[in-house]
Amino acid sequence: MSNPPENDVVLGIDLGTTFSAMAVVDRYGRPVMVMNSEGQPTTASVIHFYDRDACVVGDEATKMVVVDPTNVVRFIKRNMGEPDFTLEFFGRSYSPQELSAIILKKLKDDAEEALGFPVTDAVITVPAYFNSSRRAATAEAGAIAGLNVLSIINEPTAAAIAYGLDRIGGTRRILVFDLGGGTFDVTLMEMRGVSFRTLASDGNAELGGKDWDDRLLNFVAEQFNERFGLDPRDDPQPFQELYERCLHAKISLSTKPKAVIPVSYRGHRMVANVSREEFEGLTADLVEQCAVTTQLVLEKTGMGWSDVDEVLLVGGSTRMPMIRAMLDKLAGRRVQSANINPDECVALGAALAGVLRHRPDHPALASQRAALARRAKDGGRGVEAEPEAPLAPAQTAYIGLPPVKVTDVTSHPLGMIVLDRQMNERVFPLVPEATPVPCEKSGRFAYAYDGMTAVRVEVTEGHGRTRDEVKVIGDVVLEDLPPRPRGTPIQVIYRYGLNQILEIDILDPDRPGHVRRARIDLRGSLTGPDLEAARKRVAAFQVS
Amino acid sequence: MDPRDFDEIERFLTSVGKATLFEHLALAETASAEEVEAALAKRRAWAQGQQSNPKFRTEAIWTIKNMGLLKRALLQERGGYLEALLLREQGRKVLILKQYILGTLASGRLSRRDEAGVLQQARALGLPDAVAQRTLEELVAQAGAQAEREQGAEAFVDHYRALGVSPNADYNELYTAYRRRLEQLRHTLDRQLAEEQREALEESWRALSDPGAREAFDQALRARRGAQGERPPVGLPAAAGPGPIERPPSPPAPEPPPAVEPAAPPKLTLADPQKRSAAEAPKLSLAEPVAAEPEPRARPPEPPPQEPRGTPPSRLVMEPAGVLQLTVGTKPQTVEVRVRRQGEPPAPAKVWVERDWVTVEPRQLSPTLDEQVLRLTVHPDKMDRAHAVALITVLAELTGQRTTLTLEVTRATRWWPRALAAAVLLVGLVGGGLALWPLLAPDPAPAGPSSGTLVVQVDPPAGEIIVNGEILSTNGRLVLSEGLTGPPVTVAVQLDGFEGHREVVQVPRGERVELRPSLKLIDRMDLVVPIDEPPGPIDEAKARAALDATAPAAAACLARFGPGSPGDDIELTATLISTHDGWIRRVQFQQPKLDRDPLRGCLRRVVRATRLPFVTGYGSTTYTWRAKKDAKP
Repeated sequence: MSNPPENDVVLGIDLGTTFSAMAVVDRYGRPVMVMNSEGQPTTASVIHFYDRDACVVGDEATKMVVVDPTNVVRFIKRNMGEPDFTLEFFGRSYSPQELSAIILKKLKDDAEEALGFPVTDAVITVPAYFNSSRRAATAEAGAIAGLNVLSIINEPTAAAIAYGLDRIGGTRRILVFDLGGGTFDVTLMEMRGVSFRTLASDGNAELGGKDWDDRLLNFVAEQFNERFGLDPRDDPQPFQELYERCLHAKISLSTKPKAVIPVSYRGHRMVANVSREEFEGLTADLVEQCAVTTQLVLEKTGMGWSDVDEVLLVGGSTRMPMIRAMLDKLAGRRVQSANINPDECVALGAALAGVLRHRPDHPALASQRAALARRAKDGGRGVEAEPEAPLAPAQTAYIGLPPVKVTDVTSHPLGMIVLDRQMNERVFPLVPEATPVPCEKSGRFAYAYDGMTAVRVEVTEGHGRTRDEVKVIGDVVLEDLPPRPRGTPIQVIYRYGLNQILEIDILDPDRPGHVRRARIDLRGSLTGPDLEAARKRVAAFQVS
Repeated sequence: MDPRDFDEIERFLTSVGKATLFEHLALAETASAEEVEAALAKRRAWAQGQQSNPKFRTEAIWTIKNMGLLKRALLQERGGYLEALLLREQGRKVLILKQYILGTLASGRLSRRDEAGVLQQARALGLPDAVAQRTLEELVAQAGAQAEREQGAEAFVDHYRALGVSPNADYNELYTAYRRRLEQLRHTLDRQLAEEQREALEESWRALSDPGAREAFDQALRARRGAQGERPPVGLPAAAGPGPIERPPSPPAPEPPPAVEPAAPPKLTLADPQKRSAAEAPKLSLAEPVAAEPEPRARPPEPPPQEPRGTPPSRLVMEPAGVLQLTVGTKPQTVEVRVRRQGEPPAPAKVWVERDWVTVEPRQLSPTLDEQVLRLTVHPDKMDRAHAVALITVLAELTGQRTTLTLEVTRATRWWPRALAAAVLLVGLVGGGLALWPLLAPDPAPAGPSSGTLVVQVDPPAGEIIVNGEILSTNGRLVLSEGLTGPPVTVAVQLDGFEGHREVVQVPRGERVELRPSLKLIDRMDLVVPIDEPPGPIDEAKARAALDATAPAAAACLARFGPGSPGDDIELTATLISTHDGWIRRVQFQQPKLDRDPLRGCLRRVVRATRLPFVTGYGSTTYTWRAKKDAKP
C-alpha cells in the first residue's frame, strides 16, 4: 500500500471550553497530538482582538485578559447555538459560531504548519449532552473555519476510543466521567468485541471547572469586601487578575493542602489563605451535582457499580481530588481509573474515529484487516467470536487499527407534536433517547381531518409529553396534498446522520413513485450565502 | 412598544435594582441618539468584559443578548418606552393613592374634606386629577353606597347625636354620656382613629356643656331643620354642589327621627303597585354578597362611631345583604328581601328607596316583628337605561341605624326611548319632594360593580371561548354580564382544526356587545393513529341521535346555500362513513347536484364541529336533513 495522499489526514479536534487540542492518526495507525505553533499540545480557547481584523488565540490571549478584558473572548462554547448572543469587537459583531471558527482556524493553520500540508477534513467533538442546535453550531463553526467537518462526535465516545482501542477483546463497560472547563458529561459505554456502544449519557452543558473557579473567586472577593468594603469583582481588570490567581490556586489545591491568593485592589492588599478542606466545602454542591448525574446514568441503564469495569476520567477538572473521592465513595471501592491524559485523549480519540469512520482504505486499517483475515482463517473464528480472551500485551503492539465499529447515540429524544384520539396535543417520540447513530426512524401517521391539503410536522427535542416540556426545534410543512379523508396514512421519516444533523422526510405512502419530500436542515442559522460570507471574513482574518 | 419587551426590561431592571433604563445607563430621557449609542456601546463593552465574572454574569449575558431590545427601547421606540414607564409609574401611584383612599374610607364615610385630601394627596404624587377622581369613584363604588358623603367641609354635626342624648337632656345626662363615650374610646385599638374621635367628642362636649354655646347650637339646629325641607331640587349633575366633585351631594347623615319625616316615599306618580305580579318568578341572580367586596376594609364591620353605641343594641339586618343583582325583561318583577331584627328592644323602621322605578312594600316596618318581608318591585319601563342601580335603605327610627341594599338591575332589552325615560326621571325627581337626593341616578357613571353584557356566538357552534385567559365556555356560546367594564376584554375562540380567533372588545357599561366570530377551517395533520382496529358495527341509534343534534345547524346551511327557489323544501340525504375510532371520515351526498361547494363546506363544518359520538369501528349510516330554502339570497 502506498503512502496516503497528503490531504488524506483527518484532523481530530477537541474544541473545549477552556482548552482545545488536535490530533491525527499517522500512517501506522497511531494517534498523535499535533503541536500548535507555540509547541504545546493544547491551545487555550481564548481570543484577543487587537485590531479590526486581527486577533491572537491561545496563551497570549489569556495574558491579555488582565490588560484588555473587553476585547477578550473566553468560554464561548457555553454560548454555542444561542441565536441572539453576539459579541462586538472593533465595531464588528460576531456570533459564537464565528468566534469558535476563529479558534478552529488557528488550530487548522497550526496543524498545516506542523504537518507540512493542507488539512481540510476534520472530526470535531462535542459534549454528549449538547443538543442539536449546539451541535449544529459547532458544525457551522467548522465550516466557517474552512474545514470539511466529516462528523461531530461525542467527547466521551472519543475518549473511550482513545482508551479502549488497544484493549479490545471481551466485554468491558467504561464509565466516562468528563468534567471539562465548562461542560460536564457522564457516559456509560460498552465495548463488546470490536464494537463500541454508548449505553447512556447525561450531563450539564453549563457545569465545569469554571464554576469551581467562580466559587473560589466569590469566596476571596467577599473576604476582601468584608475587610475593605471594596469588591474587586466590580472592575473588569482587577476581576480578571483575581480570576487568574484563583484559577491557579485551584490547580495547586489539587496537589497541595493549601494555597494563597494575593488580592490587591485600589491600594488595598490582602492575602487569602484557602485550604483544600475549605475549597471542598465551597464547592460541595457542585460535586454533589456531578454525583447525582453519575448515579442517574447508571440508573438509566439499570446497572450498578459492579458492572462498571473502568472509570475514565476526562477533562482537566477531574484532577481535583474531591472528584476522585466522590467517585470512590459512590462506587464503594477505589475506582480503577485509566492511565490516560485527561487533556489529550478526546482529541486522540477524535482522530481515530475520523479514520475508522471516514477512511476505510487507510493503510493501517488495511494491514490490520489483512492480519485479522489471516487470523480468522487460521483459527476459523472471527474476532467477535473471541469473547473473554483479551489480547496479550505483546499482541496489542500491532501496527494499524482494528476494524472497530463506533456507535454514538442520540442524546435527546426526537419527536413531533401530534393529536391523539381525543384530539389533544401530545409529543410523539419518534427517535428515542440513546438510539444508535446514524439512524432512520419512520412513523406512520394519519390525516387528522377530512380533506386536509397540508401537513405540518413540528419537530421536538427533549423529554416530555406536552409541548411545554420539550423544545420545538423545527417545523416542516408539506403542502399541496390531495384532499383525502381523515385517517389517510402519511409517513414521516427522521434521519439522524453521523454529523448529528436531522433530516426529515414526509411521504405519501399511498402513491409510490409520487413521493413528496420536504427536508429541514437544523444546521444552525447561517445558510448558503451567509455561511460563505462568514467563511470569507474569517479566512481574511489574521489569526496568530 | 410590545408589552412583552417592556416586561422583559422590567424583569431585568428589577434584578439590577434600577428603576428605568435611563437610570441604568445614566442617560437623560432626552438623550440624543448619539449619546444613547455611546452609552450602549460602553455597556456592551462592559458586558463583554464581565460575562465570565460570576457577580455580573447574568446581567452581562442579558445585556449582550438583548442589545437589540435595548436599542429599540431607547432609540426607535423611546416614545413607547417612556409612555410605558409613565403608565407603570401612574399604576404605582394609583396603588399608593388607593391605600390612602381606603384609609380614609375606613371610617365608613367620605366627607368633602376627605375628598379634598385625596385630591391633594394625588397632586402630591403627581397624578392628574382625572385619574385621582376615577380611582376615588371606583373605590367608593366598591365600598358600596355605605360610604356616605357629607355635604361639605363645614358639615353640620349634631352634637346631641354625637353624644347619643336627646336634645332635652340635662347637664348630668350630657356629662354621663360624654364620660361613657370617652371610656369607650380608650378601648379602641386604632389609636389614630380614637384620637380623631376623641377630638370630635371634646368638641361636642364643649358645644353642649357651656349653656351659652348650647343655646347657640340649639338655634342652629332648629334653623337647619327648617331649611331642610326647602332644599332646592338639585339632582342633575349640572346643578351639583360646589367643589371639585361633580356629583350631587348625598343626603346628610340621617337626622334624629323628626328630621326623617320628609323621607316619606318619594312620590311615585307612575308607579302602580297593582302592576306587581306576585306570580312572576323573579330571575334573581344573587351576585356576590358582602364577602365579595374586594376591599373589606372599606366596609366597616361596626357602625360609625357617631352612632349611639351600647345603649340600643337592636339592629336591623337585610337578607340578602350588600348587592343584589337582578335581570329583568320588560315586565315588572318582584323580589323579596327579608329584614330581621337582631337584639331585643322593638325597632320601628322606615324603608326608603330613591328610585321611581322601584317600589317597596311595606314602607313602614313593624316595630315588634322579628322578621319581615320587603317586596321590591322593579318597573323596567321606568328605567332610564338598561342598567341601573338603586339603594334600598332601612332606617331604624330610634337608633338611626341604617342598613342599605344595593339593587343592580339589568334590563334585557332596551326599547324605551332615552328621552322619555329621562323625562320620567325628572318628573320623579321633582315630584318626589326630594328629601333624599338620588345618590346615583343622574350620575353619568353609576356606582357599583355594574357592567355590560357580552354575547359570543361562534360559527360553527362549538369551541372554547376564552375571556381574559379564562375558559368560560366550551360549546361556542357565551353570555356574560359581569366584570366586563373597565379595561378592554380579550375574547379568544379556539376549536381544533379551525383557525383560532382573537378579539379585543370594550364593553361599555350597560351596553350589550355581540361577537359572532366565524372560524376558518384549517387543515392540520397530526393524528398518530396506526389503523389497527378491526371494523365494527355502527350503533344506528346513537348515530341518529347525534345527527339529530346537527339538524338545526344543517338546516341553516341548507336554507342559506341549498339549491332551489325561496320557500322550496329541500331534502338532503347523505351517507356518513365513520373511521375506526368513530369519527366521521366521509360524507357522501346522495343528490349529486346538491354537491355545491359552499353547501358542502357549511355542512362539513357542522358535522365536524358536532363530533359525532359514533361507536368504535368502521361503519356507515344514512341521514336525511330537511329544510326550507331561505327567502333571502
